[in-house]
Amino acid sequence: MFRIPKNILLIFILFLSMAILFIDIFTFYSQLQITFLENLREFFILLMALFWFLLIKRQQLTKLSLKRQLLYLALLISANYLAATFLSLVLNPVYSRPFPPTYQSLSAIVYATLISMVAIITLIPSFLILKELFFYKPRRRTRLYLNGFITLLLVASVGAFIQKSSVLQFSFQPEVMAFYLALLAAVPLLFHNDWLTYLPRKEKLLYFFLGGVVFLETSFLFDAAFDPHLAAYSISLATFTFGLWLVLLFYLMFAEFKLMLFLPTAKAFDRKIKEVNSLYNLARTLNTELEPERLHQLITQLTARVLESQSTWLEIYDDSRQNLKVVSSINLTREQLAHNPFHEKGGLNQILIREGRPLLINDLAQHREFRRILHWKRDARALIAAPLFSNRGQLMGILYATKPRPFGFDVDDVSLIEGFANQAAIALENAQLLQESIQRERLEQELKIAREVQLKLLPQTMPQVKGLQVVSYSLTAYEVGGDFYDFFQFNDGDFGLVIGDVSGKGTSAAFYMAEFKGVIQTLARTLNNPLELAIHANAIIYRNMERRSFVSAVFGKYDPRRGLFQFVRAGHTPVIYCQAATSNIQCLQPAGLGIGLDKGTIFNRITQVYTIPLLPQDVLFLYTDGLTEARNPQGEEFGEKRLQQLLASSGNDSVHRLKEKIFDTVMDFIQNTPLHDDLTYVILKKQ
Amino acid sequence: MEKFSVTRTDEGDVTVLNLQGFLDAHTAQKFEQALKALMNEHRYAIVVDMSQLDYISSAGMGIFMGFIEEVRENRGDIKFCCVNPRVFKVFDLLGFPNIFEFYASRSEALGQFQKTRDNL
Repeated sequence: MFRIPKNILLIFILFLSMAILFIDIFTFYSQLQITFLENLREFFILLMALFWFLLIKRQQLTKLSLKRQLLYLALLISANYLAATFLSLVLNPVYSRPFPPTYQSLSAIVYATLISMVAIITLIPSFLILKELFFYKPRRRTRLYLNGFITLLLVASVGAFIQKSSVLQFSFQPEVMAFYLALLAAVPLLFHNDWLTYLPRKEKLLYFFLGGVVFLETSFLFDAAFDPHLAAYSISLATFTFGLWLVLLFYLMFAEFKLMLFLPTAKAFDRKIKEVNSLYNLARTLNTELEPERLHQLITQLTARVLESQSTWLEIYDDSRQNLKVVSSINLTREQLAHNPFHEKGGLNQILIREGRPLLINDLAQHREFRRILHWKRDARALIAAPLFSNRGQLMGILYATKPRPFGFDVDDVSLIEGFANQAAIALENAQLLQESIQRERLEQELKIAREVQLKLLPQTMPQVKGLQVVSYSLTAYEVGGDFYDFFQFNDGDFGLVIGDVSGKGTSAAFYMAEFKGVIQTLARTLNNPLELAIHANAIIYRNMERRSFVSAVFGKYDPRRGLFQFVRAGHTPVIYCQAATSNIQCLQPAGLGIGLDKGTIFNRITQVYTIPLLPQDVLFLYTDGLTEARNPQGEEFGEKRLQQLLASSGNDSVHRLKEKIFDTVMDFIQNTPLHDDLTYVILKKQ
Repeated sequence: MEKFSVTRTDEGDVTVLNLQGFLDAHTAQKFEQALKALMNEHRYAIVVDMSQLDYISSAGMGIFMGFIEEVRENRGDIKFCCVNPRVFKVFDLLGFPNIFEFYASRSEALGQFQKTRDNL
């Protein structure tokens, strides 16, 4: 749309006003009545008002804050009032009667011109602001009423000019009717003052007094607003202005009246708004904070600020110690913190936990039971407290606040602290859950590493042993259990094996496993029998292991020349020997001690070597306790008996078949129960 | 119900710890705290009553190993009593009876402490 520059509009307005003034002076001196000139003059006034309207519209009053708009309105009306008063003091206008009035002196012309200009200049922006106020909270018909009012008022103004009639005198003339209809349309608009409902108390007070002044000024403006000055200048302008003025006057009156009604409750209203806001702020602030310590501080600070309490503190329930502890406080001395009487048996804490709702003590000095709290803190006269409960209804803590003045807290404060406690509990619970999930994640990661280490430590391929078939199987539990097996060569080149279980779980088990494997691999190269290997390994491991950790293991050696299998049982599960010739199943459990339990005195004394001459089809079964201790959903262990029966019934199976059979049987037995320990076995079969 | 619990009874210089339930990697800490408390009080004559212990894992057995040195350095001992056969089998496999004394009843274990004192 084409925009006329601001300056050009201003020049136009100035030019038009000068032209009108010139016409007026000319008419006054010549005493000529030229209808064309009169019409032209009226048209000029219309143009002038239109231009000014366009100019003001550009100021974008919509963007001003409510406060700005109201102050602007007050300023405009005051300016109008002052200008009118000042001009009437300086000039002494005289007009002819009856209506319409005509100028009787030059000063009347000057006065009427100036006052009309002032009216146009101030009333148009005033009405635009008024429009903003109407639309602060628009309703369905607001726009209809406003448009109706303006349209009818314009019709009335033009009509009044043509008929030279005064709308002050009621008649059934169409233009007068239009005027009153316009006012009728504006009546609903007078009640559109929702903007003042939510004002803070201070602003309500300010606007009440300011509004009073403005209202008085507006009512005094009546003299200037219509008859005779404006009417003398232009009847249409006068009619229009009068309409606007009436709406303005009544709008101000109604707003003033409403403000007056609201003033007594403004304080309570303010409080409620503050309450809602502070709860909202609390929720927002607390939700962005995930560090429990910071949260504790925030909760205490915000509570203190909103309750305007002198001392405020937060006690948090410690699950492991099963007690409450002050985690954050304002205005509590170290002494007071150390001798907190709330923790005592039958103290306030217990009552709050039992009752599960907020508590208010108006004056501790008057309280039968808790007067003694004053010994602890002399300036704690009024006390308010609320327990914090989690979503699941678990006690999380208690929030306390005190004031030195008796009756310092009221019922509103109780609902406020309750709201605070609820919000705080939610935030604390969220933070806690997050911490827990981080912790879990970390643990998970650690276990993953442990499992990877364990897998890498196990032999990746099966050894080729002359005359002996070797298969193995290992299943890692969720929490790595420390199971482990390895194959190696003794100094004389014979096949050696070890199966073991490191005590403990997780990363530490994986770590010891790695150490153990290294020790065995190194020692085996220089040694020739399993007992020596076990004794040396024990000596090294004992020195390098944490006292409470140990390894149970079986060390074995196969001599292919003589077909002998020798083994040492260092605290481990027995070796099961399945003799093919007799179909006999034997549990071989020679004396022995776990590795790392003793520095060697006992170990070396008691540990024995067991030797079996292996014949074709003989099977040796080595396993860890994870196999026999695997539990089914009823909590029953797989046990040695089942294992032996299974082995007894599998005499003719190949080692690979046997390996699968054992796995399948154990899995069938445990069903979907998770393994709580690793499960490992090694099968040797003489060819 | 709790998975594991330990109750302490002092009988003169000797402290009896009664273990109940499952002693594994998860519950071991509780038992460790109980023993630590005894060390702090310089009570080194300890009888562990296992009549109500249903299960012990390697981590559980490790706890004894963690304290036995300190206890014996202070001329004390940890003696076991009333171990049910299933639990005893676990101890036995590992060779624990070579390191610790096992008794069939509490009074026997207590009596053994008495004997040691009389010999001094």
